[in-house]
Amino acid sequence: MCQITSQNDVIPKEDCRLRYPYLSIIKSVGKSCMKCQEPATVVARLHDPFCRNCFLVYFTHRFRATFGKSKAVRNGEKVLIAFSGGHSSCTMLHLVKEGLAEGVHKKLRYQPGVVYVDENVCLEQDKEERSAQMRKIETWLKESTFPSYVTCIEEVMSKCSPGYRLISGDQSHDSEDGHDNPPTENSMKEEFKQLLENTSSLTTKEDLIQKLRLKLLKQIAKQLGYTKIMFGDSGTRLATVLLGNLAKGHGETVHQDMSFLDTRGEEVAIIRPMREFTSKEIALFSHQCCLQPVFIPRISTKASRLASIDTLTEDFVNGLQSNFPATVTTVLKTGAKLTSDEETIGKRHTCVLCQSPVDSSSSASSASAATQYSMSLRKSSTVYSSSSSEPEAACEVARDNASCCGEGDESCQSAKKNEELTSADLSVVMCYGCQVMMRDVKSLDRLPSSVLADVQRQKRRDEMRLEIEDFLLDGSEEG
Amino acid sequence: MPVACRMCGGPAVLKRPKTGDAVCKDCFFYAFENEVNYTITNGNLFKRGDRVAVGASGGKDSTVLAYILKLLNERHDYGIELILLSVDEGITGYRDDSLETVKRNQHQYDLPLKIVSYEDLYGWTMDAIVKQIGLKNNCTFCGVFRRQALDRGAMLLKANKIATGHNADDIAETVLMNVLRGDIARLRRCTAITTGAEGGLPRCKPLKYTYEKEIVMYAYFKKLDYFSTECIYSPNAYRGHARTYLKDLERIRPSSIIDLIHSGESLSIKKDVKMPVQGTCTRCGYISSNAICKACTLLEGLNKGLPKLAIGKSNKSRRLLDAASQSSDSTNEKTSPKEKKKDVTF
Repeated sequence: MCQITSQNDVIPKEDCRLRYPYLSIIKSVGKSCMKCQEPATVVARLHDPFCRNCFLVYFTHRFRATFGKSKAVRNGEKVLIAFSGGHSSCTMLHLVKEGLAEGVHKKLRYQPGVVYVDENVCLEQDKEERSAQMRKIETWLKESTFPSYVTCIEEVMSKCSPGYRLISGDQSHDSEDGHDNPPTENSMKEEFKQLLENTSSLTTKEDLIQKLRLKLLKQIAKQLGYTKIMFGDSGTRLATVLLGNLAKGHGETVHQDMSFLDTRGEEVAIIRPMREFTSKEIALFSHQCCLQPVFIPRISTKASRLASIDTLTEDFVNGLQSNFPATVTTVLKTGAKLTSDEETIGKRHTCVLCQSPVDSSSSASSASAATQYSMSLRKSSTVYSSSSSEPEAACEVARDNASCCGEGDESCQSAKKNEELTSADLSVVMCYGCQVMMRDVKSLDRLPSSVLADVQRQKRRDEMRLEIEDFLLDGSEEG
Repeated sequence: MPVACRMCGGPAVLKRPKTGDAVCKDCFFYAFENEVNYTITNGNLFKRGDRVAVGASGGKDSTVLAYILKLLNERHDYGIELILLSVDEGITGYRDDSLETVKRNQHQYDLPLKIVSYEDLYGWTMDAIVKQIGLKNNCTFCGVFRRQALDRGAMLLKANKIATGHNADDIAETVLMNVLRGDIARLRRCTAITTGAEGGLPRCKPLKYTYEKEIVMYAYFKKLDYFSTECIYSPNAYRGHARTYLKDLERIRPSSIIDLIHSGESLSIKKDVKMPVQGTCTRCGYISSNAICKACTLLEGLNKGLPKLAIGKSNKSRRLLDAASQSSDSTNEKTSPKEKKKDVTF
């Protein structure tokens, strides 16, 4: 069925043994492979020893079966592979390349492209190290033989379409306009840096980078004509994402953050074929095939356990997984049983940052109502009814930039005059989780212009709707 | 330079964990009490004339709950009758001390008190149970028995509602636990503020949105007396992992607790997922999703010397039990050996 031959390895086997001499002396773990009874070399899950070949076959088979089962990708579809240089991405790229190689029996043929997002602006690195890393990345991209592109994360701040660089093109691809937009403009770098500096917590920084990266990838995919993006998130990573997102208030959409097919957002969908594997299995596979991932540090690399919600959750899941090996699979299975509230989904707005439905003002007793009540209590107290010593501006905008509109009864008009984004606007255009995240961002107008434009558009649509509300027949319109 | 209270401008004495505001003592009491009142009125927890059994363990949650329900009942005229209900699990060194606290509360708040014990209801104390089954999985026994004990006690008192002191941290922990354990049925129910309304007494959680730290602060500043030790059997509980994670989350971002509850409330389950159906236990008549309720199964196991019955995947012992029960009574149940009943512990 699936044959692993040495010419599909990234590095020929002979070199592999020179570099890793111990591979030729296979230390048997004292068990025999559960398939072929040869001496085993890896133990992927608790009671499953495999020899090298059977493990590679098993792994590859599961990767392809995930595609086949879900029927998400059709023949001839253009799929963009998001490559980060880590173990998961390299494994995924390797498997895709192998799967589509000539001479391999398969039913599914899709057209992949590869894109790498350069995040140097988040964590400035030493120039030499940086060029060494970029060389390795470009080697990976060129060896994949698929059309490959490199873009920078600050391109998401661009006022028109984001730019990217072509590394290796597919000769049969028709050249269209905008095929090779060289990323320019240091001003975008500055804007992005400003956005990050205005964010007080590491959790929010990580979240913003992740959401903006996704936005950028979707824009580029759309530009280049790709209908799907493939991410290499492992099962362990997705379990971490699920728990982390629960803690951040994204409850309604956690199931989409970790499902195989994520169809939020209009034209471009996301697929996650590596979700069946734990990070341990991926590392074992990558090691067995002598793949060479590129390590690029991020803002949370080597951060302490309590630095951000993501680092804490990762530590938590890994700790539990070592004692209770079924943790990751159970969490993923639980997530797979969840769904969104189907009845109201068509009537609600879409969050401008994460494309999830904005939470509706919900039932009688809810956490968001309780929080709003607590916030409202701040301003009133019957204990001291006389006026306090200095008049405090009730409105946050006025306190910040002294452009008080003079209303004074909490119906702030200054935002309307300045077309600025206030926190009152956010509750309409952002989901609960993103609102919580935005509390850490000091000035909301540092967000990318595409996001701000979406907000304004939504506000105008709401005003339009308000005008014609009496004459609309059924609430079956999209939000 | 003294920090000013966010609400009234006077000197602040504490920082609210929930909102991060610096407030003075009286403003804190005001905010806390009004939030609980809001939860009660908004959730329609009580009606005029209700007889409410307040689960009282002597710990901080139940002490503050009893105090605040009495206070708000008088202040806002809910018109409810309050009775303290306490459960004696028979854990020496823990429960007998906290029961003394409950008796003191009875005098301090001037509320009637009823104590029910596992010994009377089931014939087993927790100490005896732990001696039989060891230190793992004993929280299962205690939890299942306590739920029934509360219901039975409340029925004896002719109460029509139960109020427990579960706080925001407890609910958030429960959401996490249910995700980690894959218990989809409980995941849907655990964030409801009133549960069990169909069959059995409805039980509500007036302190659902109050942080544990704020409860401690309230008790401290109001000089309320409570007993604060961990159950001696708790260090090995799985819940401890979720609790540590939650405490750390709170340190990173204090609003995470409420955010977790919000996430839990927003979850919906796919329609094709198999859910347990509610019925009644054939032995004791209590509500149950299986033919025999969990408490009866656990008791059967203890009495027959099969302590692991109903803990974990129990095909074998379930078959044993059914074989034994088929020979003794005439129920027609057939459990096919292939039927996999995943017994969840929490």
